[in-house]
Amino acid sequence: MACGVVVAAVVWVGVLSGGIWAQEGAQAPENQNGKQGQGSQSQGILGNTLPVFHPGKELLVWDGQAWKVTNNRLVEARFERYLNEPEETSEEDLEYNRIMGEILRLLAARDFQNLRRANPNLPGRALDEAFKLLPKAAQYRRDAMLCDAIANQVQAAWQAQHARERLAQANRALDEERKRLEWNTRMEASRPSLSLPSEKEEKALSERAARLVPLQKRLAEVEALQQANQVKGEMSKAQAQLEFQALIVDLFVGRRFQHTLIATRFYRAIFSEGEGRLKVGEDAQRLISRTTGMPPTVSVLDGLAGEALRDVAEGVEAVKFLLGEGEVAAAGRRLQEIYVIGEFLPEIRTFPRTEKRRVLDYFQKTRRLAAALEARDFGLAEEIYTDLKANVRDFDDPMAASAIAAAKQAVQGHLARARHAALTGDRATMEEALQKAGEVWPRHPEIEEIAGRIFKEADLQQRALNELDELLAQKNFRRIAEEKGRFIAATAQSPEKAAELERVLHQMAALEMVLKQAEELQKRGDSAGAWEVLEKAQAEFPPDPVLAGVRAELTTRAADFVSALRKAEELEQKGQHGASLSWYLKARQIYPPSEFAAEGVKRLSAKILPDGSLP
Amino acid sequence: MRGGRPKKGTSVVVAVLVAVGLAGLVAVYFLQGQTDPFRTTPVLDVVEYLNDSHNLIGNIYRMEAEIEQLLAQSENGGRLLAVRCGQEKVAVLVPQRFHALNVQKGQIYVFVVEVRRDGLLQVKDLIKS
Repeated sequence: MACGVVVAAVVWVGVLSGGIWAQEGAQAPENQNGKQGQGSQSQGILGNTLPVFHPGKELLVWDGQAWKVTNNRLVEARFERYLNEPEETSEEDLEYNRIMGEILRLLAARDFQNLRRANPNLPGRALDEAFKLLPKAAQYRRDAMLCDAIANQVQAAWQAQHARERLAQANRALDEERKRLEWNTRMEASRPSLSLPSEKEEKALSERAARLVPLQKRLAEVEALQQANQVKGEMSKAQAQLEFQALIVDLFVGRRFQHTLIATRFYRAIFSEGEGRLKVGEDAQRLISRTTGMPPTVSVLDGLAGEALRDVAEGVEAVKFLLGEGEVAAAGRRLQEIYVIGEFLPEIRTFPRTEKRRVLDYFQKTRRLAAALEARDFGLAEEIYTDLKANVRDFDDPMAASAIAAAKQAVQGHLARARHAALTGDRATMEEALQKAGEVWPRHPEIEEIAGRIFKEADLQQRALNELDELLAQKNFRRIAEEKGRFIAATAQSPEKAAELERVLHQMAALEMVLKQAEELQKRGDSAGAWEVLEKAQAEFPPDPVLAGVRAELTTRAADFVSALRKAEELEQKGQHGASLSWYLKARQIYPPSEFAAEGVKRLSAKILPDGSLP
Repeated sequence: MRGGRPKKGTSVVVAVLVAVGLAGLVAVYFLQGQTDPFRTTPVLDVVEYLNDSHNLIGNIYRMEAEIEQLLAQSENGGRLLAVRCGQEKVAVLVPQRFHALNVQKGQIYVFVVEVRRDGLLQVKDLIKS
């Protein structure tokens, strides 16, 4: 809390210094990093002793360091604490405000003058009444014992005044004494000389000189005392003045404007009008005179304090109006500005909490928006931005809107590249695009979703490819054909695999046609023909369970034919061509259209009569 | 009753009948011999042949079969025929020396065949039935 008060005070002083800065036309520092600009113009009053405020950039430069006033954590924290505090409208607070108002009313300059004209004594009584209220006000926590400090200073000033009067009285007495001594000395010095013998005359002269010495000595002592008393009186008054002025300046710098007014009015009541000039250092005098255009006097501070009260009162009215119009952004800025000035004033302390919460909510959301943008969480930023746009009539942050739009556009571009790369199997490009999208907007929901989907698809794809390889090795073409959709998708990025899959699918399609043909023959009762169709297919196609099953069934149905052929083949393999030929003839006898039998007969006939011709 | 010795004429008749019968049998026998000269050759069991021709290699059989189809022919090798013997079809090779013989489908022949090493029935002789 103390740090916040100090910072706020520094800001207040810096604001005053900034007035000089602006009037002198000096340039603001180059950046916010505490580096001062080129040349001596960038230095403030007393070098870097006093802080200097640069309104354009809202920078406060002090002792070589610069920071942004509106972005100062201490100030922000103090203001935020204020926004969370309840309004000070308790009975105690209201009573304190009433007492302070009464003190100010009693000390009002206009009333003083009117009262003085009407009754010279009344101003004194008003002063006494106001003085009596000071300890009463000091009892309240909000007063921070400042009214006590004012009361002490007033009392000291009065005591100094009384001391001066006593010293003046003493000096008057001393003055009487001095006059008497001077008379006696003059009388003694002007006594005529007697005609006496020289010895006696000489003795008389020396006696007269001896009588003059103590008179002269005493006269010198009295004069010295007078001077000392005068100096004492001047010094005590000066001391009291200086201390009082120091208190006034202290209250003013501390933004205790009500107390400043009370102190200045007490001061002007105690000290004469000509003694209002502030006896401060030359630089501070210049600070005040150039800021206000007036000589640095107590009246000037009185005027500034009064101006601050007026400014705060009007500012609060403006804030209330803006809040009523829904312009929370402007209301927040105005409230922050007048808070820096009038933190301790009743208008600020009694500002309704419900209204302050609206401002607080706005500031918190803008801070969250800034944080989200900094963290590149543009989803959250957009959400907050939309909320502010909807609920705060005068909210406008084009930089945030641009940043969000730019981020969305960039991410969509990268994601589109990633999707395309995934489709074409360009994994390197896909990963690069996803990484770039993540750099722009790390927490974009689509990035995680797409990446997860791509990786899942890649995983599924890889598993499908592995399964396809396995089935190909097993020559389980029927299973491949049954799940051809999955395998077609898996081999989309692999031309070799795709070609092999296509070959397998064509084979299976042909096999299905053969099975269909066999089925048709069987339906017509031509089991031998159906068997022969499948027998030929078995030689052309890899092992197929369906084919084997149907073939087995047909073997049973066309048993004689199949048996004859088997016998013929068996005998042929043994070299029994004649017998084999006979069996082929038998098979052909059973199933005349048999191609196997016809080929067997032809083949064996050629073997038996190699040089023969077939009819 | 009159008892008596059979008549002599009846015995003669009987003897003549017997003689005629015997003559007839002889005639038949000889006639058959003239019409089926391969009658002493065993008949081929086609089923057995088809089931196990290997055990019949070198044997000579006769069979009566109908010409079904000319399977192949060559100038030196002869003619390979498919013949029907009973319910079965077999292949027989008619060597070149029988080239003058006109063999046509539907004709019935009696073949004397030898079972070759390769199981083929090679015709040794044949007559048209």
